[in-house]
Amino acid sequence: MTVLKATMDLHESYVDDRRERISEPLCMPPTAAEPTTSINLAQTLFQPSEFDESLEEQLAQSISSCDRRHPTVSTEIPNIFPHEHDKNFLILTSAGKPIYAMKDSDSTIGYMGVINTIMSYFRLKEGQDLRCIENDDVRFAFLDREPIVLVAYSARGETSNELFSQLDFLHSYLLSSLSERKLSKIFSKRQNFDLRNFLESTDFENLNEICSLLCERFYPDTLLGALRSLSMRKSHRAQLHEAMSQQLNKEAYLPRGMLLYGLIVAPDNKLCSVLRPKGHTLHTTDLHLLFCLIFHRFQNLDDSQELWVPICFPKFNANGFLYGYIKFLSKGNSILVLISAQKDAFFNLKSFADHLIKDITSSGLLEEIHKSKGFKISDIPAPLVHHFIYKSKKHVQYVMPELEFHSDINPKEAMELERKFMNYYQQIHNSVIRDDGLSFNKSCLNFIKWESDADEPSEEPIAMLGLGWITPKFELYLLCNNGVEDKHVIFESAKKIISWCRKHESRLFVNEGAIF
Amino acid sequence: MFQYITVFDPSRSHGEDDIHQQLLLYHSFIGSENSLNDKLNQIGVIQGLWSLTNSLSKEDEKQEKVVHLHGKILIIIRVESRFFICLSVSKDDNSINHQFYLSHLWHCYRFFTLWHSTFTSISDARELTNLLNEHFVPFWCDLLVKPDTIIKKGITGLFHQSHKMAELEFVHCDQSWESLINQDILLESESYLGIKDILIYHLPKFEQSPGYKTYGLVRNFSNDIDFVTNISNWIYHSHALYDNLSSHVLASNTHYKETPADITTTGTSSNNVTSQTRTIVPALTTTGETILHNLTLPISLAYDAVQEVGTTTGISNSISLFMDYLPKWNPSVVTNMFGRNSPKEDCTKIPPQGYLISPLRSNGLPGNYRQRIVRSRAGTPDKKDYRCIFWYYRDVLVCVVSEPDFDKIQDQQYLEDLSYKLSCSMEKFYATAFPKEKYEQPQLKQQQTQPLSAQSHNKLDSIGFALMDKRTNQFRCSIPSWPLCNETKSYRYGTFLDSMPRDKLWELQQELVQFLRSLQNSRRKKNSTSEERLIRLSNGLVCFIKDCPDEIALIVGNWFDETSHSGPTLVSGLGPSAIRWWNQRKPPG
Repeated sequence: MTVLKATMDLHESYVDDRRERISEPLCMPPTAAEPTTSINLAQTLFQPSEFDESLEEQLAQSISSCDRRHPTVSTEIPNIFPHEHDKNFLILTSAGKPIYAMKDSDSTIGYMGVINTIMSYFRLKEGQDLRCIENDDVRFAFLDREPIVLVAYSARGETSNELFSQLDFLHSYLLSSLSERKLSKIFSKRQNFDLRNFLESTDFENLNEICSLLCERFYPDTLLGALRSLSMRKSHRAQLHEAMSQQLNKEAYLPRGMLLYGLIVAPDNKLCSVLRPKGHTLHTTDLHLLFCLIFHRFQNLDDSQELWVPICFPKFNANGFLYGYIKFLSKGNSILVLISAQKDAFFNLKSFADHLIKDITSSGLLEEIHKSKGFKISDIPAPLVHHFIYKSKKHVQYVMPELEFHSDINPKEAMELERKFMNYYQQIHNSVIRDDGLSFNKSCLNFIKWESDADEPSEEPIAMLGLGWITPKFELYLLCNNGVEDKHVIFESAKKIISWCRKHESRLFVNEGAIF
Repeated sequence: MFQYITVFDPSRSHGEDDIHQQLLLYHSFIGSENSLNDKLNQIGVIQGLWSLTNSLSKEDEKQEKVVHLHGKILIIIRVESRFFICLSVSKDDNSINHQFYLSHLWHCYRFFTLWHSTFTSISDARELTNLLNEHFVPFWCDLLVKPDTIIKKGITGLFHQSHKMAELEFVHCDQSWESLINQDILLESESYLGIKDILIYHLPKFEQSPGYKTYGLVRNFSNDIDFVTNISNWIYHSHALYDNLSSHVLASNTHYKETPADITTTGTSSNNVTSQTRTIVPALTTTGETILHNLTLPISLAYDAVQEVGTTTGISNSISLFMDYLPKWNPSVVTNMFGRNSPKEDCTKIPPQGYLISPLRSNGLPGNYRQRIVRSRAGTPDKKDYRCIFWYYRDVLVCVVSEPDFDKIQDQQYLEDLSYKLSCSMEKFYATAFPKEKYEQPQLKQQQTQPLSAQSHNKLDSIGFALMDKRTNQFRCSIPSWPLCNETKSYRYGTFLDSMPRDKLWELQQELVQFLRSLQNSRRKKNSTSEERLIRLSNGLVCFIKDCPDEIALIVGNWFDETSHSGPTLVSGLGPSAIRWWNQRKPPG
């Protein structure tokens, strides 16, 4: 809730600047702000001249704003969403045996039994699968992926499509850990096999991590179906890709086809560069999974260690495993991932990695990656915008300014802040798409405004304005500072953000990558 | 389309042995033969779903659920805290959003309570089953044959807890039609306190309407009757279904029968008078004998007999035969009410008017033709039955609600006087609501006396709106879902949407349903925070929509037409006429 004093101080000039800029539209000209003269609306309608219209609108605005005691704009973003624990994921086998529950309670196993009964009734008696249930504010989604059934319920206003994609993400995790072939082998022998005994404790930890990412954190990746990219200078990124390609050509002892993909990933799951075969890309979900695993499971590694892990990419090939060579480029920072289809490629990939790392360290590129800290909202000439997400559909990637936290914020507060942002973006996103996940139209612009009086006199009244904009080329979701009223200011800002993002496209997004 | 409808009450069963007693109604629309066991399984699963979702969402108040299967949708509501009503709809080539079915399920239940009573107050299970059979099955069978009904009502049909109000602008005159009703009828010594209320509806045919916002309840005079919403929605539903509010319709004695001839007529829609007669004819031939039998029944039994046997066997359809025995005061009118095809004719002749349901009807007819009994506050200790009679004048339908002990309403002389007074008032109504010269020549700019209307009426309204007032349950709407034919276009009441083709209008309505649903799904703290949206689609649609504790408002426009978007607020994105409407949307006081 609280935006840091520290950041406020740091960017004082920027804040002041903004206050100045906004002061014009917010302070009403005195004549219009005094509705005491009681302009008769009917009179103004006699001649539909430009002047009358603007007068009328000013009047309308003054009516709406005159009851506000503080017509100020604040960078504190209020939370307008209820706080209850209102979401859960359940995973069970098709025979009704429980596998996992995000929030476990004594009765969960009983519920899973009922769920299983109901689902099998519909499947057997009616020949139809249960998909979702709308229960006023709470929505249930059922994903039947024989031999596994996944159920989500949520009161957070997600569309069914969003819940399905979250369930699919969880299912993809299970596949990435077990592979589909293994799963079906287990269950073809014994239908009521208890998968809990088969999964390892790290699997449950990872499931917990993914669930918390989906429910408690600011993680728009699954919502948007896109990867976050690391912004860095175009020339640096090009050099990085060049270095990767060159290394691949140099390595005579790395047989062709041994290396499938190479990735450099910065913290917070930001994609930095890609090495890939021509005409092949990895599915976004697969990469989400990979990044989640790396940054959760291996976050304690240091740069002297390296890993060789089998991993199944369910969207790439759900039946087989690929092998990943993972190395941290320096402690707690970015990672190099090399993926091969061959079990025994470790040493070849290792030497490739060593050479590459040596190369980019000596040329200073590694330093550039570490230095790249993203951008701030103040870098963009977009007045009154608090935060935004810009997704480029061509790249299937998105960028957003860094969230500005207090330095002494405790983890719980930080989590709450993240969740608040996630809620806002979820609402804005859902206001431009249908329940089935398609947009209302091929391009669609939506302003959304929340208003509420302050609970207590000391608090500021809530007047939050957001914008969702979908076109065939990009998606923009934007949140304004509290108290912004004028949609035109926001629309202008949105256009500036878009042109800024387009102008810096090659800096913000990983375009083709290094292709071989 | 519909697969089955079922009504059940789990509290009727106390163990494994009498589990079948839960089932009150099960009707399959596709003619499938289900064993009792299958039916019990189905309702068992529905109960399972209900309790599962309730316990996981930790709230018990939710009275409706929609279950999506891959190929069909189950819509379940719970009423009176123990009766479940479930409708199963298949998804094949079905372009109607399930929200419409959900609201119609509520409509169906509410109409039942209006004419019969609450389920709880009917203690005999067999009696309840019979009534459900007579009421629920024909309701959905009719919709199956005429899905246009839902389309005609559009988003108005979504709000089952509110009723549409008509918005007419009356030219000022010395004595308004309202004061005529007030003085000459309501406050007049003969009927004072006897006549509880008078509901005035303006119900032009959908195609010939001067604008959708003029459709609906114009006003009523009392504010302590609780069934205005239900009876209004019932009237709108019947009107949309049969297109023609004849005595038979208002007596609930008409239903569609699916016959081979019918399929073609419903396909071409609109021409309803013929489709109605065609459907009745086959029913006659098969049940002719029963009719003769019915004719000989003692008069006192007529109502019960026809109602009981009626809908299940289809006899009620053939009631039109009785019409030959009726005393008619204006024969041409009886068969074709609202048959106002040429407005010019109306001024020379006496406009069509008369009673539709009144005690003036022959005693030989079922009681529903003589008066309708409406249940007020059903299921509560102070329940009361009111009597309703119906009277019409051109496109206006008047429902006179009288106290149960007001016997004067049976008196012929009194009714004739009443009819005269009503027609005086209605004459004024038409004269002030549709002043002649403006109605026919809207381009003429000679109305110096009416600068406001002159300015706003020389072109069609550039916005369409819908407004649901959550406190008064009144719904206002000018967004049509049925195109008007050009001749009746009124610059006074019309909107730019009126002449759009039917499929476009329905597309728009479906789009609005999506917007509304998306807004209702919003997660904000709903009791304190309001939310408004301004949506612009690339096809030209611009829609402002707001949900707050007091109201739900919706405005649509076309942003291709609109050049100025100068205002800062969201609603100003629709141009000056939207701002004007927005600022004046609430009547003073």
